[in-house]
Amino acid sequence: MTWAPAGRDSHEIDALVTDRYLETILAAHARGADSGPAAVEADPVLRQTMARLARDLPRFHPSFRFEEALADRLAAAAGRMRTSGPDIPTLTILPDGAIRIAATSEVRPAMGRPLWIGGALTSAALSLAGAAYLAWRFRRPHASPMARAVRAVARARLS
Amino acid sequence: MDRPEEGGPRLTPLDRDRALVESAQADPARFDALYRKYVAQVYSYAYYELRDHHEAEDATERTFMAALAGLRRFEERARPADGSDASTFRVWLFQIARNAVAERRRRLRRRPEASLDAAEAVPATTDVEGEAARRDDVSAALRAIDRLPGDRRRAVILRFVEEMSTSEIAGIIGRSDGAVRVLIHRALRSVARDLGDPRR
Repeated sequence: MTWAPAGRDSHEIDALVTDRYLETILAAHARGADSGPAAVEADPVLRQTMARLARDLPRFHPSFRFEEALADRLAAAAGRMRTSGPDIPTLTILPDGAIRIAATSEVRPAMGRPLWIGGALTSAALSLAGAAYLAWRFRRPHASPMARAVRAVARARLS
Repeated sequence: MDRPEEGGPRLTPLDRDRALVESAQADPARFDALYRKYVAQVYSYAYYELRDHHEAEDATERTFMAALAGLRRFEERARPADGSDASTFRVWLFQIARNAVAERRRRLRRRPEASLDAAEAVPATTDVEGEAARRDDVSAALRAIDRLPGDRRRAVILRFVEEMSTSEIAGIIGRSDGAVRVLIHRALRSVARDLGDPRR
């Protein structure tokens, strides 16, 4: 009697059987054994091939020198990320008066880092909230006529 | 099965590397633990694909630099089907490695390939005859793997050398679990023919 899971063709079933058998071989290798008891019986030729690949394909290791050198370079890069951060919020007032704020993924209440504004390095005491407010104020006059009209209506309703 | 009931609590298995990843996300200096854990695997994969130590080192470096830079954007995506031993970080890391290797391969295609027998890299032993036979076996297996087309070769390397699950390989090469099983099955048939052919 043959059994086939619904919706699977013969290729998939063969592949599934091979996969199950491979699982047992790799698990046996992980334990340090050549092979283990298999719950499923795969094609003998494929079994031989799987055993051979599991035995003969080596894992290549990088040299100790390379590994340590790369560890140092990663540590240096990580150090730069800690001091400057990959996504530091920066606010720049361009010569034509436009303001550009670099995107940030996190907002910190007080910035311990300097901001570049109009080419001048300001003190670290300037908070992000203040910078955002400044940017908003500079942008506001450039609003569209429609936006100005909406604001005027809102002001009239309030007064 | 750990499938949740309709409207019931959703069970998500812990990613094997969650603690290390969260630690490195909080402080990039702690990325070293993840690097040490996976550097040999990434290098080995790159070496299988590129067959040049310098190129493999370069791809490894690009992989880890990119992973460090992008770690804050990494999101764990473990599925119940992945099992308790799954690492979506490893899948993510190998996706980066796969891209780094592909970029190196494109560059290598533009210049003559270095002929380097990877079997030479197998550690030497004092058993000369046994070593010679072993090198022959390794060479034959490597040549058979080399002759496989792209995704079949990749799937076999990840399954046999890196000992990844079908599900992890599926995540790395962007195919379904079933498609990966079929890829490996067909690859094994090709390798079996190859190894059984005395002319090769």
